[in-house]
Amino acid sequence: MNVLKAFSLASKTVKNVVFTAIGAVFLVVVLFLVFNKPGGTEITCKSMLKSIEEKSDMSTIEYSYNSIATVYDEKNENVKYHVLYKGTVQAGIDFKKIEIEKNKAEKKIEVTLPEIKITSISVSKKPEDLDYISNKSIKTETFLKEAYTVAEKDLSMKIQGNNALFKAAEINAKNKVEALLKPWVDQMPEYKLEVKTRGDLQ
Amino acid sequence: MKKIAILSLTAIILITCVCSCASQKNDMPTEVQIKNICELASLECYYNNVARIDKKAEHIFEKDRKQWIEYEGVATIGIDMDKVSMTISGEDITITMPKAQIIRELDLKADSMSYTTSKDGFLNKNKITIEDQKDAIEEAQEKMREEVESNTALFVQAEEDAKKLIENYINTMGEIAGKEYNIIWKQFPQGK
Repeated sequence: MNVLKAFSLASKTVKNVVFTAIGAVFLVVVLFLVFNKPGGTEITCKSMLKSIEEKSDMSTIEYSYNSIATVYDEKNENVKYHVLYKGTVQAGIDFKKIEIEKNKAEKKIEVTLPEIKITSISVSKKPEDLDYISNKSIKTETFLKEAYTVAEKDLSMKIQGNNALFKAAEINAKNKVEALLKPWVDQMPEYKLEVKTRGDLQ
Repeated sequence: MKKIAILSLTAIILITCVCSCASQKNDMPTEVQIKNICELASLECYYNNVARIDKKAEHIFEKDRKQWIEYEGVATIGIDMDKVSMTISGEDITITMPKAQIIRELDLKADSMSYTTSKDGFLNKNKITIEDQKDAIEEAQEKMREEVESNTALFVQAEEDAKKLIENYINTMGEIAGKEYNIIWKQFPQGK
């Protein structure tokens, strides 16, 4: 009788173990299928950076900069004349210097953009694009010789402190990076994307 | 015991289905996202400009005068996202997109204005009026608009950037889903 009882108990235990094992295996298979779909890609900062770097040709934009420079006399005391010029400036960021971090605690993808850089400056050499205001008459030849150099210097000096131009370049860079990272961030609905510039961090 | 096991398995299967369906939603490119990308691809075009007043003397008691007004402004060039549409047929994704245009008009920053003026005469005065300045700025803004519009490189860049960003979006979504989408571009008919 005892033997029968023991056999029945052992058989029940075996059944339980088998059922639990099947359940566990099934659960593992199900979880594997859900989280590792075929062709699925692990979303890492590296893959996001790669996607940005591949589009580095979108990093700069040309801006129109028509302005006025002032030319002083040799003693640098009196205004000789003011020169009006037509200029263009190219500005943007180096996509290769973008940093991405996954902040798991705050559920954020933190992107830090490098500083905006001026990549080229140019002033039109066409005589019709240069003009002057002077209280004394000046020779056109003398003016044209000097004006272009003065205008170029003036433009490179002015854009260094031009917040509005840097702000526009920053908005353009931020938007591009956000658009490039969109498909990745969409895969992590619990994460938020935060694009910052070096200026924001200071 | 059997009942518990069957119930557990049923629950797991249901959860799996719900999870799969929910996650599959993120694998498919959507028109809303394409439109969002178009908006992000637009170019914020800063410009610095000079309005010119050349006031010629009308008689000998007046002097030729010049005044330049320097100012900053911003215009936005991009794709009108209301005209963007997307259709999916199997692995083929057709995107209809219009050409880039000025989507936010040239916005002059009044606080950025500075003036450079030639001296007026002592006896032969020729005053530059507020009307002269208003006309000059209007003309300069119009010229700047023409200059922006004639800068085809800027419009091409806005269009190309939008296309590249959309392609990146679709290809990445495909990569994540293990699919290879074929993108077909169609031009939105002009004048509509």
